[in-house]
Amino acid sequence: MSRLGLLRPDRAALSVAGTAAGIVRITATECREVALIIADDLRPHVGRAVLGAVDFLLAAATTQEALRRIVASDIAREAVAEAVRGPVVEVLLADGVAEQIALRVVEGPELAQILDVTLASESMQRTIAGALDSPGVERIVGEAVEGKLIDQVVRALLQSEELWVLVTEVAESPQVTAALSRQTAGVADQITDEVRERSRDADDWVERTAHRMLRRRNRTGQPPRPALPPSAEPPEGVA
Amino acid sequence: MTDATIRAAQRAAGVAVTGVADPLAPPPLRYVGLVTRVVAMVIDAAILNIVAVITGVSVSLVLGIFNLPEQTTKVVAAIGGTVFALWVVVYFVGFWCINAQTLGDRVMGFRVQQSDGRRLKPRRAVVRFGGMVLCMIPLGAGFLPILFDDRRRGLHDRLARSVVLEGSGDRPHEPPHGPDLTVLEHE
Repeated sequence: MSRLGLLRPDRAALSVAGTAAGIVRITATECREVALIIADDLRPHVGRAVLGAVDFLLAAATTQEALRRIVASDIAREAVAEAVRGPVVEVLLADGVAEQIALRVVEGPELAQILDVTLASESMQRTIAGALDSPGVERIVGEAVEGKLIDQVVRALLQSEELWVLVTEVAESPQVTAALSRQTAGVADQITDEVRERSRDADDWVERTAHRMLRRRNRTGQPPRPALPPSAEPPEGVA
Repeated sequence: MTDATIRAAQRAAGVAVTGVADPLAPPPLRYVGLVTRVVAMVIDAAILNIVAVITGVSVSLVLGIFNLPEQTTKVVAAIGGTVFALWVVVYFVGFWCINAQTLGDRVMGFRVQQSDGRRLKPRRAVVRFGGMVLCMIPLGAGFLPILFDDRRRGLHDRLARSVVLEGSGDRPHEPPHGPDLTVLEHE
């Protein structure tokens, strides 16, 4: 047989091959259609089965243990570090996401809870006490007092109507009125006592002067005998 | 032994027995001098005149509405003068008898009482007031004996047998059980 004869395709074979290919093609197409039909029918069932499997896995104790191990593992730390180094931070800061997060925290109940816990903690108390005792705070307070802040505050207070309402209330309060009355009475008593004492001294001075002028014996005004007679009984032996 | 001798011995005995000063005893009483009394008198005069002025002005305002004749006005003035004099007498006599001190005396812290420690009786109070008027006639010379008397008494005190002592008049001294000092006065 010649080489050309070997190379001459067998028409029958070609035909058979072509038919087979066609059959395959048709079969593949039909299989795909069948598969699609089967998939459409099975999709809901498969979805439910998958979800059920997921729920089962989530409820399982092993899943929680696995999650704990994953979170505690070095891989998780590396993943978070990688995410922070990556574009995640930029995504959060972009488009106002950070502001939204901050707003959510501020408006939510979590902030109050956080503040309560923080302020009640001993470490916060110690931190605040240490900060107040620090020379930096003293310097800040000193600068504030010496600066214009106090003047502005005082000026604003003086211009406010509420201050004068407060002053009026205090001035008209019964306690302040009573205290003023006591103070006035006390001052009046002091003045009266002072006048009395000076008049007594003046009495003695005038008398001494008068006696000196008339060259009489100096007397201080003390009675030589008691102002009222004593009530003592007569002594023994007196007839 | 006469009563006077007994009383003198009693006083001497009292001083001897109580020769040591008792720290719990009240401070010795002081007779009040001239300057203190003058200040009290000024206060009393101010009170008297203020009341008189207020009363007089009120009466004048009321009478001024009616436009009274001059004769009536003179009578009213005379009556006003009499009322003022009565007011002064009642003021002094009343306060001496009731409280042993006028308002001026209270401010200056002294009281007027009889020599025996009792409050002035009305008759003695009137006599004392009359004595004050007599003291004032010779430009107040009747008060000068206060400067020289042992118990700082003026002419009016001698007439009424009264003394002026420091202290409040709220609680007058009880009559002493001993002899009346006025009997032993050598004036």
